[in-house]
Amino acid sequence: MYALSSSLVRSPALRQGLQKAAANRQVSLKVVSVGSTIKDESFFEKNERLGRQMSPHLTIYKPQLTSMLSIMHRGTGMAMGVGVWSLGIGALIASQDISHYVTMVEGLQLSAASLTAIKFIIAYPFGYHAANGIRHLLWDTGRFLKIKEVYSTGYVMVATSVVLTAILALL
Amino acid sequence: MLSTVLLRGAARGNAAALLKSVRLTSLNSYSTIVANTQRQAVSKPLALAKQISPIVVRNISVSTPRMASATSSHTRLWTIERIVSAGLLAVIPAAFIAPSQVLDALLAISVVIHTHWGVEAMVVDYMRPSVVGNILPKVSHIALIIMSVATLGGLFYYIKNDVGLANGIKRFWAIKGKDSNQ
Repeated sequence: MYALSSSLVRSPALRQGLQKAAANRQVSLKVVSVGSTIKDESFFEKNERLGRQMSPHLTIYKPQLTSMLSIMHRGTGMAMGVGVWSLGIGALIASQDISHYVTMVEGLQLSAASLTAIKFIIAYPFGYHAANGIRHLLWDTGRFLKIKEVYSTGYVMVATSVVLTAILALL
Repeated sequence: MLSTVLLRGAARGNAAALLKSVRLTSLNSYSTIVANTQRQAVSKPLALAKQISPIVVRNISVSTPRMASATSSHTRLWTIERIVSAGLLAVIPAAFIAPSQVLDALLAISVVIHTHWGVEAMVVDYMRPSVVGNILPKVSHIALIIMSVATLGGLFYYIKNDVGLANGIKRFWAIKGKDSNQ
């Protein structure tokens, strides 16, 4: 209503009236205290009260290299975190020392190929997180922040992570 | 034939509309309305403006509400987090190349605190009070602290009483397959 284009109005009187109104439209800026703008209920509480559903958000977003690599960084970090926790708390509650568990795994009699494959799978979170970690630290210095650079460093990083993991798995 | 029917219909439509408009406002009253509007537009622009577009009022607070901590800035902790992350890039290879209790301890401390900060970021991001309530975020934070302390304790115990962190991992890594000579 307010955005009515006065040039499209056919009646000259109404058009003139609208143009005068547009010229004289007042928007008043009232300076108020911070307290008066803080509401009793939060954004979420209000929408809950009004019975509103949340708009689609995460699921409608197209997966992109940026977001996928980012969540992978978090995922690999969490996975290794669980590993570190298991190692630490396992050391507290285990009844035997490490040689016992090494012997247990040796007793599984896995083939060399399976062992290398398992080592690759275990080492990949580390390789990925380390490579992407370097990328993050480079960003923190202000480098490679343009979108083209984000994508190119992303591809280089994934390749590096695979190479690094392969080296570790073959050690 | 069809076109004449349509045209007649269109004309009928126009004529009806014209008749309606004529019935509502006679030519005399139409000119008065126009003149009145013109007079109003010149003499009482504000009144006309109010009729067409009411005054818009927005309450703007010119001072931002204090959401974050009022006393300290986060930058120092952020910098220390980056230093530890970069340090890990040096400590991990060093601890594995030249295993020792000192490097093992340094490795344990760096890894545990790095993990703690990372998982803390996840807790802050996902355990939002508006989604999970008020108790769960606090409980998760405390649980995380307990986990980190327990992990560090366990790792220190392991470094002191067993072969050591780097050596232990090396032993697992050195397990040979059944079709090798060992």
